[in-house]
Amino acid sequence: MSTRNTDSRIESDLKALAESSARGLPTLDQTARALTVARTQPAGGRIMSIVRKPLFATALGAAVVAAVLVCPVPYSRTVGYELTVTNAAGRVAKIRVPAKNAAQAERRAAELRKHGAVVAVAARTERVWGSVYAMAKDKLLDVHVDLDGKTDAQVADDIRAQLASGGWNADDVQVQRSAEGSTVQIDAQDDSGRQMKVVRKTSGGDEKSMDFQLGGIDDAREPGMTDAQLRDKILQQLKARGLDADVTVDGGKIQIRASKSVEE
Amino acid sequence: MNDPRRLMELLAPVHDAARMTARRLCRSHADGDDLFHEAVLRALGHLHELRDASKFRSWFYAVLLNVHRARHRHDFWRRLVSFDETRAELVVDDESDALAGAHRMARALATLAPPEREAIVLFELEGFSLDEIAALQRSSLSAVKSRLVRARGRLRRHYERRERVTRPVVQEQS
Repeated sequence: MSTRNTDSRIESDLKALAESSARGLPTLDQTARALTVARTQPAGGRIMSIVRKPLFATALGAAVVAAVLVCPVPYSRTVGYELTVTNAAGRVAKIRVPAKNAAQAERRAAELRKHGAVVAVAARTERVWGSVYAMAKDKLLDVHVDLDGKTDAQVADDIRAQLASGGWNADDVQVQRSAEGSTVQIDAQDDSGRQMKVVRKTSGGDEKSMDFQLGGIDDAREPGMTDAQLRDKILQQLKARGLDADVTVDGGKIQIRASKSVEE
Repeated sequence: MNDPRRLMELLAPVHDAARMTARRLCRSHADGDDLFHEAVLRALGHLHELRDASKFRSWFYAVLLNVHRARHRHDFWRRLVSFDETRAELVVDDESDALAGAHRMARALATLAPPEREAIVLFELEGFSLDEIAALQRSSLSAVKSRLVRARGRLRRHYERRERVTRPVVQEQS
């Protein structure tokens, strides 16, 4: 694209932005009503005005981080992977891979498959006590896919294989890439029937690889734990990962909605 | 005295333009409207400091820019501590070129530092003069000029990068 073309594109997009921002513009009356509503909620406003002062925000952030990071909680973590290799003669061998990253284990499995072996990858876990931060870090399933030269279907297959290595059966993985960005949708469930639905959207089409982290939430109820306590346990893990989350726990039913906004 | 009715009277002539400015500074209309409401609340709290009503427009825009900067400074903590605010992309409800262009520009502006974004929006879209922008941003005239040049350059590089990514896809399809 020549500089002149780029400049004219910028000009036309600026004009388009100017026009689009006039659409559905609230009126002065609506602004007045919003102001009235905001002034009738002094408590919330006061809290937000305190929170929005940098010093207080820093102190509050530090307090929450300290609470989240220090409190020890029980959880199970992945310590490596076990490859069950079956050769053409039917002989079975087990190989322990120390990697905590499912992608590394999957790469090792792929090498063995090239020699005609049937390889199953399973995560090895252990039960430990540690801080929420340690738990969130340990239990994440790191997905890494090199996009170079791969079709969307091949990327989806790669994600599916890495999920399988982490103990998730992906019912549906959809990948769509364009110059505007990429969308990945994953529906998966683990052996115990827990379901995970993930939608990842990025803007900009210059991705060379796709890295994201999935799962890793310990939702096991400790003996005597109430719904509210289990909800707090899950929320702490999500906050430790920088996610805005909404969690509901109702007996055996747990619903987690989490989102993360990252600027380009 | 901080009288909401007085504020609304003063705001009336600049309401629509300022609301649009707020939207243009943000990645989504929802964020822009939120920014505008916060600026109106802030303006009400400081209305007694406005000495000359004829200068309300520039005074209110200065408040708007202050709120814009403050919100940006708090982005880091918002990621860590949820204030139940989720940032939405600019909604594109049909596939028209104009809306796609608006979407593209909103994303490109989001890559700029807040003072650069403000300078571009105020100069290119709102028709403020360089002197007015310098006064609003409490900067020198030369600082505003170089900020605009820098912002323009960044926008251009952003568009060119996107174009380089797009090109192989087009060739593959043909």
